[in-house]
Amino acid sequence: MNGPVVARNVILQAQSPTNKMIKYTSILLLALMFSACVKDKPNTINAPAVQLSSVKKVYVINEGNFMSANASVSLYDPGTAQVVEDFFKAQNNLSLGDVAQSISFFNSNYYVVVNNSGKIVVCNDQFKYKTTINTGSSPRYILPISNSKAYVSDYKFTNQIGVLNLNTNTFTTSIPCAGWTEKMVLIYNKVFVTNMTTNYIYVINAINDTKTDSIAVGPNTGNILIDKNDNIWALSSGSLSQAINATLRKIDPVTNLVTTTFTFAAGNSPGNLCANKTKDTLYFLNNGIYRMAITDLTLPANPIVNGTGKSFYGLGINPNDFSVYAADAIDYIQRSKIYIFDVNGNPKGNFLAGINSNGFYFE
Amino acid sequence: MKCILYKPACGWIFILICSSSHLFCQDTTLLKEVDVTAQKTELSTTGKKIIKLDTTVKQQFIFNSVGDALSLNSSVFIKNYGPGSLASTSLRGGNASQTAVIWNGFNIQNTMLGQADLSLLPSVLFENISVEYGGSSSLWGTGAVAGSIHLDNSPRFNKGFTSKVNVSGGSFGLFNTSTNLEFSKAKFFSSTKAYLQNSVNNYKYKDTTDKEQPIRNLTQSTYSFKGVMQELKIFLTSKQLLSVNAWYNYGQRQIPSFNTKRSVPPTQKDENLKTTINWNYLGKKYNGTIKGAFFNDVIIYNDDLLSINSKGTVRNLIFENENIFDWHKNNKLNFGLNVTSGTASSNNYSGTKNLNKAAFLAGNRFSFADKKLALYPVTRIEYFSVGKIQFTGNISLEYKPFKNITAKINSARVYRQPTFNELYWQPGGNPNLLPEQGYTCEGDLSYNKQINNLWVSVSGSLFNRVIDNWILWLPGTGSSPTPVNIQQVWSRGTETVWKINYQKNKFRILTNVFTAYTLSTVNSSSQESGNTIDRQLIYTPRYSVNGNITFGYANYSLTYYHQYIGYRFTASDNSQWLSPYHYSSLRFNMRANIGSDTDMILYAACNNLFNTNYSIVAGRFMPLRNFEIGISLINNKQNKKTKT
Repeated sequence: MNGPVVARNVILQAQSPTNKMIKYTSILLLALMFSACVKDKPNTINAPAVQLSSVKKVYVINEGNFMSANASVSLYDPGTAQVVEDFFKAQNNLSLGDVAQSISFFNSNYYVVVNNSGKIVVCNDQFKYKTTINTGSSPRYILPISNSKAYVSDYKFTNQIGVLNLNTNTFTTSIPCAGWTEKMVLIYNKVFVTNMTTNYIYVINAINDTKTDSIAVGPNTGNILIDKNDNIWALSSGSLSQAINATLRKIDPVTNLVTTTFTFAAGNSPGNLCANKTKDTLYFLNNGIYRMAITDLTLPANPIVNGTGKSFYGLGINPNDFSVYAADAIDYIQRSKIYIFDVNGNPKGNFLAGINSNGFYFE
Repeated sequence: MKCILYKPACGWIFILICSSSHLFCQDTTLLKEVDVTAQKTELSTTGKKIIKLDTTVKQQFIFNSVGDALSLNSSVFIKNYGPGSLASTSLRGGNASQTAVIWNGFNIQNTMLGQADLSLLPSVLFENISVEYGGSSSLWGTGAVAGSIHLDNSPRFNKGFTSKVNVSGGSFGLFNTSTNLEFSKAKFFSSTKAYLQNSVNNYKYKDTTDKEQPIRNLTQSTYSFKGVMQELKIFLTSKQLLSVNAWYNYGQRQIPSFNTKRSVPPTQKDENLKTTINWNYLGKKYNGTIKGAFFNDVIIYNDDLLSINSKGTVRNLIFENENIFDWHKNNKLNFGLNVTSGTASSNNYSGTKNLNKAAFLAGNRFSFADKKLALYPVTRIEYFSVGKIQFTGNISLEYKPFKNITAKINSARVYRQPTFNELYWQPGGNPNLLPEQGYTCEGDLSYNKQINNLWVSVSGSLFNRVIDNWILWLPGTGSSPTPVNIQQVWSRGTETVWKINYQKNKFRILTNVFTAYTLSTVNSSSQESGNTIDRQLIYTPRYSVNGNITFGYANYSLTYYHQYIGYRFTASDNSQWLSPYHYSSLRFNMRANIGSDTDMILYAACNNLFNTNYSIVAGRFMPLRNFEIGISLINNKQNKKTKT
């Protein structure tokens, strides 16, 4: 019983100092609470007016985050090393949409395919907004077939390739093509369409828009290009869950036959196949950046750029100076860091673009 | 802001917790705490700040979710993707996985996702809704890092038969109904609650990405939630209480898309079954409980266009024992154990996965100085089938030097175990993840004063928390995201709660203001190329203010709610953000007696009063001005013989 009584007496005796202590403590706490020193409004980067040089520009396509409507296109000027971070918005005072997938330039227009908005945004050569083509689907890439016709691949929504009339910007017909169609190339009036959900590349007659053939290439084939010898190269990323190794295949576009197959080691998941301007050298991502000549007999053993600590998400080769552009998505939710390397992987510079940069268009 | 310091407010000394004082509770029924869980909650709140929704607020949000109610009546930031869509918490700079959601003493966070969707929790189900601020892993286990949301059911014994029917309708095809049938005698209590909410949810919004047709109607966004909750409590003897609770919830919603031409929207179905059984011994000096629970949570996500058909099922079987022993008039000992067996299956896992844990906790609440000073140390040791044994603990101090002043301090080691998805999702799951863990310290000072008809309560809080091994999903092999222990996050800030109430005869004015200033920044990161150091976490507003004022006369009340949410960064390098917004809501209630045993409550609300175009989450546009109107009928037939 003595304990509490003693304690109470101590408290009573100390009431006056306690009062003071509480008063001063209160004032200190109040001061702390109201002295918030970080202002609410973020610091806006007052980017100086970008002085563009006459050097050909680089357009970076930034997916943004799914369902966040923060897709963008960044403009990089290699001549001045300056960047316009959201060039589309700067030119049009308009947000681009949700998940920008790809950008193409033909007929003096830029066609920006905005995947999850289900649209293709058409801009003039100054990137001024002209119109929107609503695809009603989940478009991925657009391939010009002629001045008046283009094909649009799709992410599983429609199971078809859309045939777009470039004069009216409407879809005139479609070509049944099951699954998730991805990148396409045109050669000898034949369109070779990659497909991520089947193990085939589909061949389409570009004159009458009919599917004519299919080529077995392995799972997750989304990358395709044509080399200087008019051979087709297709990269299959393989399937970790099905334990199928990734492959790089060379295809004869005349016979539609695979002529060479390079098989990656188990667990590899390469992507972003690119070629240089002279189309004699291939580049791809496989954690790091790899390079191989089209005449090589084996896959490269070592990267020209190590990917440790980086999350390379986009790759492009500038045809104007052969430099290698690689986008590091970092954590998916911040601006990508674009690294520029020379052909041997030596760093030349870097800049920040938008969120989740996945590719480039070089003027 | 400095001038505030020198205003008469200087004289108001700040309190930690003002929740327990609710001068103007309309329902003055004092509930006898008849189970140990309530006492455990009481122990856990020693030295903690608590915000408890009072009966006025509960009545005004009877047709809304717990998330909606907390959003306007606390300083918890509710990350709401839209009506009927996911609503999760950000409390004191933590994420949704770092706030435990406790229903009658059981953590009901989905252990696959590590969070609870507050939009699936109708506030009408719970008699008590409160927020416990501060870390409490030692009592509530994993997830109670930044705080805990408590949802409790309180039995009302010996009240006879009470039936309550609520019906409301509103804009965008909103229809809401719920019932509660209660029957109680001196030793028996039964409550059956059922609810249904449907909405077409086709509100107008402004799409800033569409030049030609920016004003759109949201499409393919319907939702429907329904469920039933049954409570049974029986006093087996005067000291033994047996309780059985069962709660079934079913939710179905379409996930709106930017692609308005989509023929078929993605859909999500949630099916939750939660059953608990408690046996309580209520002795004079010893209270003990043995309880078990079985939770079955199913989430089915379908996107036929993308051929995504995902089904995740998680089952948790929980056994708990809690003991509270008043071994001395100034000492209260508690100890207990928890054994949980979790099983999850998903077509994104390779087979069925199990996570088991066993925990033992013990603490003692010491009282000194004629119970003006309380000290509560508690420690917990937890075995987790993946990873190391966790030791954690809290030390809480509560001091009431004067009648009107309370000071509280809590210091704790806190942690969050990785979820099923973080460990086993394919591709990307990382079975080598470590728990997020760290230390937190918070203090609160509160002042309460009643002067005739005026009651004033002011409280201020400071908190500081450092969490290591913070888990983020980053690009992994083949660009598949994979969770990694990547960074250390430092959260700190201040909060204030201001309550000024005036009542004279039948007239009353009630005001409440909740402010929060939160910095939650990355201290260090093992990510080489990131630009996140010293950057504020995404979707963590630095500033938020919630205020409301109620004008009441007799059984009429009109409340104006106003909310300010500051900038929210949407990019981890803080390069993108959402603008602040002001949100207002006007809610009216009228209660009338329409029979000897029957009351009627009329309810009307105008939400987003000033038609603000805003988004809480990037790309998710919220509805413009909208309306709700509802009615509640309450009938009570008392028992003929009342035994207390």
